[in-house]
Amino acid sequence: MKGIVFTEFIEMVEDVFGPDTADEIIDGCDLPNGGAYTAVGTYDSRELLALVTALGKATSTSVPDLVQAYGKHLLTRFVVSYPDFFEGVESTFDFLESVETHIHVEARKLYPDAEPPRFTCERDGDHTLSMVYESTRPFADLAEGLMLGCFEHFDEDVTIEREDLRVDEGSRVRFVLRKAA
Amino acid sequence: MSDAGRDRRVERERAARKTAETLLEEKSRELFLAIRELEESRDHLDRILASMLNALIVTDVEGNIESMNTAARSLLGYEVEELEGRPLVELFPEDCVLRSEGIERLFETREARRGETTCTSRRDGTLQVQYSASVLETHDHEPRGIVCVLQDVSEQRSLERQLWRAQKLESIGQLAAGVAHEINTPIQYVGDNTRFVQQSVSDLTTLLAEYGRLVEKAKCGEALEEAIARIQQVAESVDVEFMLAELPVALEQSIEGVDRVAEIVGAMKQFSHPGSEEKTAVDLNEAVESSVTVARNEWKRVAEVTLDLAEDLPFVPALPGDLHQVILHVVVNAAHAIGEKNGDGEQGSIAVATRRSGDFAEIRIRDTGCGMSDSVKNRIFDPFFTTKPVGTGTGQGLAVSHDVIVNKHGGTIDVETVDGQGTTFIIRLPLDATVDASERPAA
Repeated sequence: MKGIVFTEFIEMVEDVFGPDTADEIIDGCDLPNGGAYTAVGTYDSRELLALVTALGKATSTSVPDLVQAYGKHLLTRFVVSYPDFFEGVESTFDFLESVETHIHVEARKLYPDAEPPRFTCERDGDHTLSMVYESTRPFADLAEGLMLGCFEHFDEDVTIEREDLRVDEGSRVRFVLRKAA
Repeated sequence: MSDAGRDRRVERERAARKTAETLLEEKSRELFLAIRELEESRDHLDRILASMLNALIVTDVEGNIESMNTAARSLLGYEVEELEGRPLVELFPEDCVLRSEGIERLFETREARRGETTCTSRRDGTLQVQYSASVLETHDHEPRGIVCVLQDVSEQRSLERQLWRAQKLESIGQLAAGVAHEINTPIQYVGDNTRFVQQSVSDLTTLLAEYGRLVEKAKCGEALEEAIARIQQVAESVDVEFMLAELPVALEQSIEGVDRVAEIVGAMKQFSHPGSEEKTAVDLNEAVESSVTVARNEWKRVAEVTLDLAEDLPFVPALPGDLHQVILHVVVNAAHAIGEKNGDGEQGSIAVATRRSGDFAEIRIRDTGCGMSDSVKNRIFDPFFTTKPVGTGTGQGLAVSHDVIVNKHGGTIDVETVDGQGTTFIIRLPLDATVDASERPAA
C-alpha cells in the first residue's frame, strides 16, 4: 500500500485526536519501521489495519467507522495533492468512473509495482451508478469513505447501497450509488 | 505532548526522510538505467533500420515524409531533409493506387497495400519497385503515420524480360519445323495444281489453234473434213472433257491452299510480333485462333481442336505478344498431355472456349490428356518445374505464364485436373482498362 495512505492517516490522527494519541498508537503497534512512513514508499497494508485497530481501541470507536471517516478525509487531501484528477470533472459519477480508467493508469506509471483495487462501473440511467470494488485487501470501508468524500466535494446528494459479495480471498463489494433527482 | 513523545516524533520524521531519500536515489538510478536502456534500444533499432536492404520511409499522420533509412536515401538519391514534409505519394506516378486512392483510404481501411510501381531516383532515373504501405498506430491504435517499404526490382524485372524473350524465341524455334510442314503440304498441292493448269493452258492453246485453222478454211470455202478430223484428234489427245471438269477443282484447291498458307503466315507473324511494353486492346478470340493455328503441328496427330469463341467478347487490355505466348504454352501442353496418355492411338480433344464472366474475359482450355496428381498440380507454376524428360522442357512456360497473367495483367490462372482424365486451364483477364495489374490488395 502506498505510503501516502499512512502519512495522511497519521496526520489525520494528529489533527483530530492529538499528537499524543498518534504517538501512542504507533508506539503500541510495534511497526517494522517504527512508524516512519514516507508518502513515496510502499508498506504492508496490515500495518494500516494495526494502526486503525489501535486507534479504535484508544478512542472506543468501531474500526469500520474510523476507516470510512479516514476515507472522507483522504479525499480532501487528494483534492489538494492531485488537483489535475479533479480538473474538468463535474460530478461524483464522472469522477468515480475515471478512477479505474485514468487515475489508476497514471498511478501505475509512477509506481509500476502498485496494486490498486479494481473498480467496475456501470451506469443505469443518469441517476444510478453501480460500482464493484475488488481488492486483495479488506479496504471496502476506505473506498466507501472516499465516495462519501466525493459527494461532499461535488456537493451532491447521493445515497450508497452496499452489498458484500462472496469471494474466496480479499474483498469484493458492490456499491449502488443513487443520486437524488 | 511530552518531551519523549516529541523526540519519538522527530526520530520518526528523520527516519521517514532518510527512507524517502533512499527511495529517491533508487528511483534516480532506475531512471538512469531506463534511459540508458532506451538509448541502447533506440541505437539498436537505428542500426537495424540502417542495415536493411529495403528502403523504409515513415510519414506523419498527414502522409508527409518524416524519416527514411539509409537504403531509402540511397534508392531515392535524396537526404531526409530534402524530402522531409513532402507527401509520400509524390514519390509515385499518378496511376499508382497509393496516389490515386490517397493516404486517407489507407487510414480508413487500415488494410496494408502492396504492389509494384515505379518511382524516380535522382541518380538512376525511373526505377521499378515493389512497395508495401501500412498504417503505423499509436499504443491506443490511433493512426500515427504510414510505414512504406520499397524494394528495387528493376534488375529482376529486366532479367525476367530477357528470360521471357528467350523463352519466346525458343518456342518459335521449336514450332518452326511444324510450321514449315504445315506450309509445305498446301504448297505441294498448289504446285501440282498450278502445273496441271499450265499444261491445260498449253493443250487448250493447241486446240484453239486447230479451231483457228478450221475457221480460216471455212472463210476460204475450202474442204473442212480434214480440219475437223484434226480438231477431234487433238481434243481426244488432250482429253478436253477431263480438263474442263478438273480445271475449276484445281483452281479452287489452289486458292484454298494459298489461303491456308496466308493464314499460317499471318498467325506466325502475329505470334512473333515484338512484344509491346504497353497494353493495347486485344481481340482474345483472334489470339486464340492464331495460337491454335501456330501450334497445329503439335496437336493435329493427337487431338481434335474445337473452338467455342464468344462473339460478344469485348477487347481486352493486354500485352498481345505475352498473351499469345501463354495461350500457345497451354495448348501445346494440352497436346503433349494427350500424346502422353494416348500415344499414337486414340485421338483426344482440346476444347478452347472464350466468354465474358462479369468484369473478366475468360479462356478455358480443356484437354482429355493424362491430367495431373495433386503434388504436380501444386507445383506447376513453380519456376523450373517440369514433368517432361530432361532436355525437352525448361519448366519455365507455366511459371512465366503465371507471371504474365497475374502480375502483368492483374488476372488469374487456375487449373482443374483429374489424374488420368484431363486438365482445364482457366485464364481470366480484367476487362477494365483502369485496372493496374501491379496493384492489388495485400493477401
